[in-house]
Amino acid sequence: MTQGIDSQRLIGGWRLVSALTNGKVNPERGEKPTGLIFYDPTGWMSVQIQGDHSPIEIAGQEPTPDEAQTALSRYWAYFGTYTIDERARTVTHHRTASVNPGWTRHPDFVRAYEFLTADRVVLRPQAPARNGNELVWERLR
Amino acid sequence: MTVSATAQQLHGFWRLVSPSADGMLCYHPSGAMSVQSAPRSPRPRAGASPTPGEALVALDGYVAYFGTWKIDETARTITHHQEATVQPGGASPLVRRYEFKTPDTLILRPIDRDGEIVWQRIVETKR
Repeated sequence: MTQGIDSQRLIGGWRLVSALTNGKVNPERGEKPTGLIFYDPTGWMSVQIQGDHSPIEIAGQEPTPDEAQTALSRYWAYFGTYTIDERARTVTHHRTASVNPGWTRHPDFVRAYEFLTADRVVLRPQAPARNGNELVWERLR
Repeated sequence: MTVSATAQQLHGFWRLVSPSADGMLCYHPSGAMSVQSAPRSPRPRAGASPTPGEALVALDGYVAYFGTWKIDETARTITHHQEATVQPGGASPLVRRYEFKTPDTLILRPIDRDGEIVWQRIVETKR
C-alpha cells in the first residue's frame, strides 16, 4: 500500500509537550505529564504517559491493591498497530495490549491529528469518546 | 557524536518473542527508549474504572516504562534509565547484557540474575 505524506510525517518518536482537557489541566495527569509516543515505519505504535505526581511509595515489596489502583490512575500505556485516514485526518491506534484492564471492549482509539509544524503534532481523541483531550507532541531529535 | 555500529543495530522497534507475552521495545536514535510487556492472562475490569483488586491483577507482570538508554560496548551492556514507570516503588537503572543472535534477534539478560528476554526486530509491514 502506498503511504501518504501524513504517514511519513508521523513516523518516528515524539515527546509529550502538554496534555490538556478542554483547555484545562486534567487532575489525573497534572501540570506537566511526561510521555513518549512512537510510530514505526511498518505500522506499529507504542505510547506511554505518566501523570505529574510525586512517586508512589509502597510499604512492602509488592504494591497493595490501593497502591496499584493509584498507580494505574496516573499512567497510560498501550501499544499495537496504527492506520491513517488522510482524508479524515485521523490516526487509529489498534491496540494489541494495554495496561488498562478491560481495554478489549474498545480496542481501537481514533485520534484526529494536526501538524502545527513539521515537528509538532496535536492528537485529539475522536473515538471511543471525544473527551476534550488535546495532546501536543514534539518530535525527538 | 559518533554513533556506534551497535547502537545503530539497536535502533528501531522490537517485538517480544520469549518469554511468552505481548511486548514491544523501542530504541530511538535520540537516546529515548520505551518498553512494554503484557502478560497473556485475563485482566478484567467490570466497571468504568478498575477496582483496587482489578488494578492489582492488571499491574501484576505488566512492564511499562520509558526513559533513556546507554550502551557500554566494552561490557556489552545496555542500561535503561527509567524516567517513568507504571510500577509503583523504585525506578532504578536496569542493566542488561546484550547479544545479537542474528542481526534481527536481540537477547537481553539481566547482569545480576538468571533469565533472558528475546526480541525480534519488526521488519514486516502490518498495514
